[in-house]
Amino acid sequence: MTDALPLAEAAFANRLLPIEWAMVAVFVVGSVTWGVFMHRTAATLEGSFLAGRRVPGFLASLSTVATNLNANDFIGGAGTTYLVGVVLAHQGYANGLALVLVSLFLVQKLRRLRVFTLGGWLEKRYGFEVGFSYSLIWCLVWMLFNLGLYLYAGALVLHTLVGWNLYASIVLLSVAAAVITLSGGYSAVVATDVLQISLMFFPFLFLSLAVYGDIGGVWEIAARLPPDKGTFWSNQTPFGPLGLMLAGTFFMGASYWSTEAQVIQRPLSARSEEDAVVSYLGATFWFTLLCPIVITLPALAAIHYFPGLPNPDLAMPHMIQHFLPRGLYGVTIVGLMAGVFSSVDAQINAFCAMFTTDVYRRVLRPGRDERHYLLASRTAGVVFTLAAIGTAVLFSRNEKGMMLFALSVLATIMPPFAAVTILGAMLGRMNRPGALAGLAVGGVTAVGLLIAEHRGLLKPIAGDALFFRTMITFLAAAACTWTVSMATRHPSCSGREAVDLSVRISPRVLRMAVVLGLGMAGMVGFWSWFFRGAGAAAATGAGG
Amino acid sequence: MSEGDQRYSLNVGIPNGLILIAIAVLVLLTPLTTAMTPAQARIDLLAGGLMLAGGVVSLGWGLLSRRRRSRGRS
Repeated sequence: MTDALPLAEAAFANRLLPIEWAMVAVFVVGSVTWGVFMHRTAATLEGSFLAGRRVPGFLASLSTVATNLNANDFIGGAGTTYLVGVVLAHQGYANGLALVLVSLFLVQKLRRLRVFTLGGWLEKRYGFEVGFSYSLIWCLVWMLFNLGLYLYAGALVLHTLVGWNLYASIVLLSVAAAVITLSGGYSAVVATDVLQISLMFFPFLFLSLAVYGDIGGVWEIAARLPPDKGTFWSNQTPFGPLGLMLAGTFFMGASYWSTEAQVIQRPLSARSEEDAVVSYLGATFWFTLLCPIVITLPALAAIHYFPGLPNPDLAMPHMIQHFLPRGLYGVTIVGLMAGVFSSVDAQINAFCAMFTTDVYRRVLRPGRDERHYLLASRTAGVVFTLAAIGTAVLFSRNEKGMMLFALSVLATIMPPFAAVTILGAMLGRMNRPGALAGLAVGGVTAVGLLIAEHRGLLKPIAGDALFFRTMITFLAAAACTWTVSMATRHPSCSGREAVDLSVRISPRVLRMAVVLGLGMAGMVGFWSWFFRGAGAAAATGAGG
Repeated sequence: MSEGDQRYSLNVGIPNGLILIAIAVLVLLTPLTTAMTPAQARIDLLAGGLMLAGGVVSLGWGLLSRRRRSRGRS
């Protein structure tokens, strides 16, 4: 077994070999060519935004995973685990639980109404004001920041790992992703997503195997962690006590999976209500069962191999460089590029869908033919991509304070919409006055908590109060929506008459949910047994 | 299946298979063009072989689905 390793000098100026450049070229040229080839599937709005609602559940679930998995997760997520320790693995299961509940009780109802976006669903469920306020906030503010962040983070990873010019990377990634999306539509986006999963899976699988082989198994990883990072049931987390972190992560997960525009496109594009549920349930397998094996455990092993890294985000790049040979290293770079592509093209496609159907067609230019809207969608996509390049450049110029503050505000605006969406899907009694009041109270609560955190008032609760703020905002919005809805009667939006809110669980879905439940319980048992404290693990390992 | 539906037929298997096969071949060629230890070469050969197999399965699945669809159309 290898002991602690010296840090490679200029570890991240690892230039690509010609043969690895060829891999990058194959991927970029292949993806763009396929996007252009798929243009015939994007000849209508439904084809362009949702692949004609014909995506099988299995592919939709791969696409859901790929959209959510990008360079940030492999680099930043591993870095956070390196910094905090195994207790963070809890988050996967709280998030997984939220994802399962959203799968079973929400997404089939969204798919049932055959809308293009969540804004469309909220309009049908509650009325124009609720749906339009969601679409406007997401289109004009949230998605622009989000895409800028994806581009900047992706370009930064390539700059760090292979020394590419930051600005050239931002332009290359955005132009290629825009060509794929705007010509091939959602079908091309799904193809990129599946390719990303294939390209990321192989290198990280081999990385995990190489690490386990070298260190001597999971027992040895556990035994070599310091006690503060090696205890799964530790009560100390950067987000407050464990219970608070778990609850906060659950509400964060519920908010994210029920409102994030590009994620919701996956179940909306599924070929049936059952496939819509499968698109989310399938993704849960990745986040709760596979992710810990290919990301979390190697990140924990990095604590042993590369102790005291000045920047925790360098943990995974160091592991990749040390354990993967050239060739497979090139595949990793292509996989990370594919991750950025799939997140960026999903975001562009979601923007085009929302802007065209909820804003342009609904408000600005109603009653035109489909060709007009398709042209408008592509024009808007180009403008949006250019604006996002500008946002990414702003991020790179160190306008960090302002950007992070804005992102933080926006991230806490997600929970009020989530509360209104989830309650609206569960309870027919919820109505428009309740939803509007919930959004207002949730928004005020979110901003109030953000200011309180900036003034240090939340420090006694948690060092980083993001999860706490999310939970309180969600609960405040939900309580207000429920109270006002129960106290008022609004005939136009009683929900029960307007929207079918019944839950249908097929035998296939039930089987998946049971397997997932057992798998998650097994994984919690795995962490609890192996990581019950470094000392105990070491003793058991020695005994075994 | 109606004519309109045909336009939306997804064919993820073909592009995925073609690109995977091309990249797998490059991974398999890496030990021949780059100095590396036998252990590293073995990892590349194993990973390249698996990727190649994955690519062939994906391409086969894509071609099969395509043929099935065109039969359904006629």
